[in-house]
Amino acid sequence: MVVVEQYPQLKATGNIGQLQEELTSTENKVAFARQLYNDTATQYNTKQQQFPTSLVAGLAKTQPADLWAIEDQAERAVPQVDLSMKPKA
Amino acid sequence: MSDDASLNLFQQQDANRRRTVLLVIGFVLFFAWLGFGGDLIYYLYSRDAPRLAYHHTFPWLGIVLTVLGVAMAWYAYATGPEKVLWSTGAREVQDPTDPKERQLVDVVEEMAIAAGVPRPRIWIVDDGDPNAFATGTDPLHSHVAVTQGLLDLCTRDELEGVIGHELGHVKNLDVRLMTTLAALVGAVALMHDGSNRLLRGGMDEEPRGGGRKGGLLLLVLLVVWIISWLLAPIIAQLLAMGVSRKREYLADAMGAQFTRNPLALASALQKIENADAPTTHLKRGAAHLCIADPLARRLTGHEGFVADVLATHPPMAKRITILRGMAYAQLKKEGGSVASPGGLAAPGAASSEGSGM
Repeated sequence: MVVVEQYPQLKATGNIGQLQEELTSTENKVAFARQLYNDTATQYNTKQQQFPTSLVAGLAKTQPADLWAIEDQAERAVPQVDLSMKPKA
Repeated sequence: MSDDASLNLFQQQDANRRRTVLLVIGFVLFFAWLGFGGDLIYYLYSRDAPRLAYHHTFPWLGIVLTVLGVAMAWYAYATGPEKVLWSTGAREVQDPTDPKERQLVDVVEEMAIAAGVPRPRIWIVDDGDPNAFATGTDPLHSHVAVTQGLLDLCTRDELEGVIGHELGHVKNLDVRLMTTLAALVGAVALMHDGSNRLLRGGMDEEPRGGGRKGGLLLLVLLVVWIISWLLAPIIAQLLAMGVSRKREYLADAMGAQFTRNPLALASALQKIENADAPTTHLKRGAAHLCIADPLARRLTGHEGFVADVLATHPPMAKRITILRGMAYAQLKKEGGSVASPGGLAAPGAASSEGSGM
């Protein structure tokens, strides 16, 4: 009887862990995609200013690429999920 | 040297393509030498034979061995990744149910995004000792394998560092060179075992050869020829070692660049180092593919001439020190520009000085 009652709770813990993992992973994927873009853009901008490639860049009138910055620090954090199911005050 | 890793990526890829081609050519030439050299010796040997006896004039041995060498090199290149994975007994993770495996898949997906390569196929080796390796011919056909021990032992961040290191190998095409090398080392070892028996059989007849004109040339040729048979596996091993040591530093740097977290990789390396037991599933032939020496040889702990010649991996302590240095530099940089938003590429920006040629 006791075992039966404990089981659903254990399962729920696993589900929450799974949800947490998925949230973290999704957030990381967004962050790493942004990082790759920024790395590549930085590389591109640097090449425009460096000697041999800067000549070509001058001829082609290239513009430096904009970096993708985050102003709001909260956007970067893993979103907090409230699963306590307490009624909102 | 860690910093110009990222920007010299294209040179690194070119160098790896070139070295793979050279390796394959060298392998085929070596076979050709074994074959045609043998023919020449036999020709010189049988030249003075009586009229009616066998005269070795047509170099069939050379032709057969060259064709064999080409076939083996092609086979090794085409099936190398499968052979390496098969030899470790890895199983592919396709539909993970275990939370640890789910996490591994997520981490690999994240790192593939960070590295800008397609997601490699993921494998797990059922071995308690923490280790990891990557194999494949190019980023489109690549595989990452970790041991069960690594999954159990490492935190998410550490796992990310290790996978970042492996994807560094994938991205700069180290995997192509090292997998081809692993397959060829295996081929040479196999061939050598077979040829030893052949040579011993042939030895009995050898003393009758000397004596007359051309005897000295014959003798020298014979000695060089036999030595190259004997040395083949050793040379192949040395090649495998020389090829892999510098790459580890480079892949560490790339892993740190992808995760922006050199300390996690450092602590993962520390854990791998502390779990000192040999990784029994990873055999000698694949040693140079791994993140840490699976044989747990004492040599790996030292620098110096002997270790330089004989170890497949750089000393762990030095790798950890370098990674900690990166973390410190990163910290200092962030302290210097507190307002810099977006987590901009600290290592990427720093590396621009490296390639100003």
